[in-house]
Amino acid sequence: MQPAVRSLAADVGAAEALIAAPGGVAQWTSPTRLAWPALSRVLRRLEGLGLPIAVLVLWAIAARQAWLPTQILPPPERVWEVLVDGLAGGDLLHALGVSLMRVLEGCLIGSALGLAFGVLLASSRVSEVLLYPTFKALAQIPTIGWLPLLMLVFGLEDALKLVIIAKSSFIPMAFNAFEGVRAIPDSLTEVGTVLRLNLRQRLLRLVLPGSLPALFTGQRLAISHAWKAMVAVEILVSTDGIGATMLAGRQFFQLDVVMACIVVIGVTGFLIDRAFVFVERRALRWRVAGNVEDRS
Amino acid sequence: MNALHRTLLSARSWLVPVALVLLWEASIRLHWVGPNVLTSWADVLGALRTPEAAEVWQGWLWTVRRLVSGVVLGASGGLALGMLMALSGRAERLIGPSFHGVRQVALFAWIPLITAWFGNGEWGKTVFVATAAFYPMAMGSIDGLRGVPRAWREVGAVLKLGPGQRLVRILLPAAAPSILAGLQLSLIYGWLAAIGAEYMLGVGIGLGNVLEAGREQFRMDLVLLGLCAIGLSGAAINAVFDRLRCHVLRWRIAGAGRAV
Repeated sequence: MQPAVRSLAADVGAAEALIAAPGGVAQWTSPTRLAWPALSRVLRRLEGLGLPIAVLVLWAIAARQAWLPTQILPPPERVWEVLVDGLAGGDLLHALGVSLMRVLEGCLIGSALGLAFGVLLASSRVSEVLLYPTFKALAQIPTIGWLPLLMLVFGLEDALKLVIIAKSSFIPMAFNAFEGVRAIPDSLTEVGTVLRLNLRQRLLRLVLPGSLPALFTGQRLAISHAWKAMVAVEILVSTDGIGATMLAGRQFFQLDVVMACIVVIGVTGFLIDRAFVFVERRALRWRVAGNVEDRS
Repeated sequence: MNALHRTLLSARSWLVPVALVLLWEASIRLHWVGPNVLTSWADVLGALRTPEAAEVWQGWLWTVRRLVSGVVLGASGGLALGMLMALSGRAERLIGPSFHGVRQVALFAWIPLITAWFGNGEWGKTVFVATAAFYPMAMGSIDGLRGVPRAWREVGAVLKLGPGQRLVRILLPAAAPSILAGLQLSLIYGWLAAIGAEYMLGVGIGLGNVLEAGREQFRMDLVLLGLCAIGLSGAAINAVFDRLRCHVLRWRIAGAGRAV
């Protein structure tokens, strides 16, 4: 390949193109060579599929040869059937909808309160001194620890689930709002003072944009914690939702249902997180642009 | 004067907890809430002298045992996988997507499957704790080993260290803060998972079982005692680990000071 490159590089116009090309020399090769990096890149991507496929094949063989009883290890195609039937027939889809609504509701309440609390902590020295140590100490107790207490107060109804989910999203949101607002540089705060912004302007023009990345981090953690708390609380106090479906599957030893639910829970959690990252990138685009300007 | 000022300052942060305790006491004395919901803190302390306190203590021991065995299992697995993925590009490409895919599943969603496979007893709980401890440790070691500055790696190349020596002398010490942070998270997640598993499975002895039994028998004093034990132990794990980390990493901090 080297001679081809050299002969082309001798061409002045091509040399200019080479310099101008953003990718540099990597793109600067003959067409036959070009096909290979692309192919090998695709192959490299596909390498990641090797392990799941190997596991699936092993699993299928194990199920077919009945190395383990079907109850313990249902065949993969059975799990796939349950998954497809459940999503198409609506059982799983309905359960998922119930759980999603629960997560959204709880997370909305929890993160709104968390945001307000975090901003309050960060904006007043007195409230920080008074409340922060207590808040931090209480936040150490895992959600699961609060369960028995909350069960006695709220019973085993939907209210309990909402409170648990809201609590689990309250804490990351409050922490991040607090850190984010506190990390706003003094210089910016001083600009606000010089410009004599009123409270509303201050919040909208200074505090909100200044702490936005931290708020996004908080919100992302909040929804992911809410999702996890939902799974836990639905397994524990199961009436409806995806966790309850899974637990019922476990009780009747239908591990195909259990595995299908695990897949649904994993994929949904992943999609929520991805969607969030997507929104975050969009919303913070101005910031990245600004940073680049700063540097230049 | 200054000392007095400082005491006053630190006293201020106790205002809210004290107020909460007073509110708690008042709500019981004035019968705002029934004794099935809250009991006086005097009763909680009194529960320490009842025979059930021995159960709490027993439960604590069992939970800690599960925590230790689960974390040893899970964190060593996490460290091994993290090292493999951070140090070998091929392993990362092969395992990475599956690892990150499986990580998406909420922890407690594994409980039904784990109990079906490993039973409701000691094995099921330990495996669940290990699962909880596995991911943070793997993430911590991946982060740490990937973040080793290039200059440090080059030192290894210049000194012609073998792969084993590079790992022990350069990579692991450089990644130590991140690995230890992963281990700390493993311990915290493991603690939560141990209690959660005991609480959800409901068989055997453990702090989670103390909570569950207390709730079923409306023994609020036991529930609150259990809660205190959980909170204090969690805080103690954190505090001990912080100390340990400072001790283990003191060479780093000293080195940083010299560099400045």
